[in-house]
Amino acid sequence: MEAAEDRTTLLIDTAVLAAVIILENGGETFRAEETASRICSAAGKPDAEVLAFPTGVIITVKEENGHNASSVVRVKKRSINLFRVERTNSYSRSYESDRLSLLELKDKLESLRRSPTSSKGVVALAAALSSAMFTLLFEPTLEPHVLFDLGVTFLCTFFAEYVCIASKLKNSYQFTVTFFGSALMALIAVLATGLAGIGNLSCIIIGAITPLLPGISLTNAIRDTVTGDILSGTVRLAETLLIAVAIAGGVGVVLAGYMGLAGRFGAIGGML
Amino acid sequence: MLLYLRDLFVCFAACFFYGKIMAVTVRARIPASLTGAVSYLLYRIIYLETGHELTGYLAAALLVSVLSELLARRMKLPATVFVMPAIIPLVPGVGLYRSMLCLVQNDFDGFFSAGVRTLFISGIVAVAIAIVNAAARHFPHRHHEEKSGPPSLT
Repeated sequence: MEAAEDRTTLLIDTAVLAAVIILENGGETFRAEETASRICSAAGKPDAEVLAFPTGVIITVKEENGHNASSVVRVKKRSINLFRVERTNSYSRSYESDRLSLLELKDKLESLRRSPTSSKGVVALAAALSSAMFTLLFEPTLEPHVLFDLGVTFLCTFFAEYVCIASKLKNSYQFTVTFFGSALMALIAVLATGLAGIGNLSCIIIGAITPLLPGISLTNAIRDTVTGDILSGTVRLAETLLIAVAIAGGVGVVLAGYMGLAGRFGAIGGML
Repeated sequence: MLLYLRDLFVCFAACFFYGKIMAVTVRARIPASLTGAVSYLLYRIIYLETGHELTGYLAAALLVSVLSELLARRMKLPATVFVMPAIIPLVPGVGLYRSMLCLVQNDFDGFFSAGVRTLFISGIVAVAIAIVNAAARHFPHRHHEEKSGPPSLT
């Protein structure tokens, strides 16, 4: 009896952990549900019920004595780490095909959850390089000032990512941080082009905000909706819109101020 | 021609670095970035040759998702790993910027036309991916072996 109960507890803990890792790291909701259900089925509990949404997971498993055992876990931090999603997927499949025991699976998932992520500097550097490339992509022509644009984009993204986006604040105050991050980017871009008197401000800003764009939430939102998970789909869609508004607002505030000043002094018009 | 070549190379690099932010392994990131670059090029060619912006986005997004599903089966990884870095060039940041700029300049007509266009583009891209993904789930996906090989380079 004891052993059966322990096993059910272990099973629920493992299944919940797998679902939580997927949700925390930018996986789709249906993937989290599917993975948890697969683990339960493989453990001989095909009637387990899993309900996942972007901020939490609920699992209920029927025990041998007829009682229901369940677990509710709140997903607090959400970021994007597709490596962990992919590993969780492959570990659960190994468990299904009996190449891992339940205990091994749980250990692997726990160490995966604690696995080191890239440092703040590396993330900021990758973001900066990526947005510099996007600036180059959006430039209409290839003239010498493109190099200046590249440099400025690199600087503003690196700085903004390092200060705001890669900070721990991102998980809890995502909209605020996105707003101030994009405002900071726009500010650096405006200052650099205004002082140097050359450069294409639009291209710099578009390149700089590209890594912030909520492309992943949007794709996941539509995917969740299409697979019938309308609750998660709606939640993620709202998140997408809010992030887009935060970016547009952050950049817009700075540009509005800049254009107001430009109108007053009449000297820096025609930059946009 | 030179601009197309630039698009291809620059887009590859952009997707490659973007994949790093999302901690995609290098093994998956290289084909994913290639997918992104080729699809963006397809969009550019359709847009510049015919002037149909939405068709370009639709074709490019379909290409991204089909290639990603094929890669997912071949490399035995979830398709998300390939879709996410590859789709970024197709997310309409330009449209978001343009609509915001119109709003800041009190140009409401411009804001609505740019905003609706942006909304449509992002909708079309996301729907194209979702449809191909939903269709792909009906084809048998051979379960992948756990790789004990080289450690990840995230």
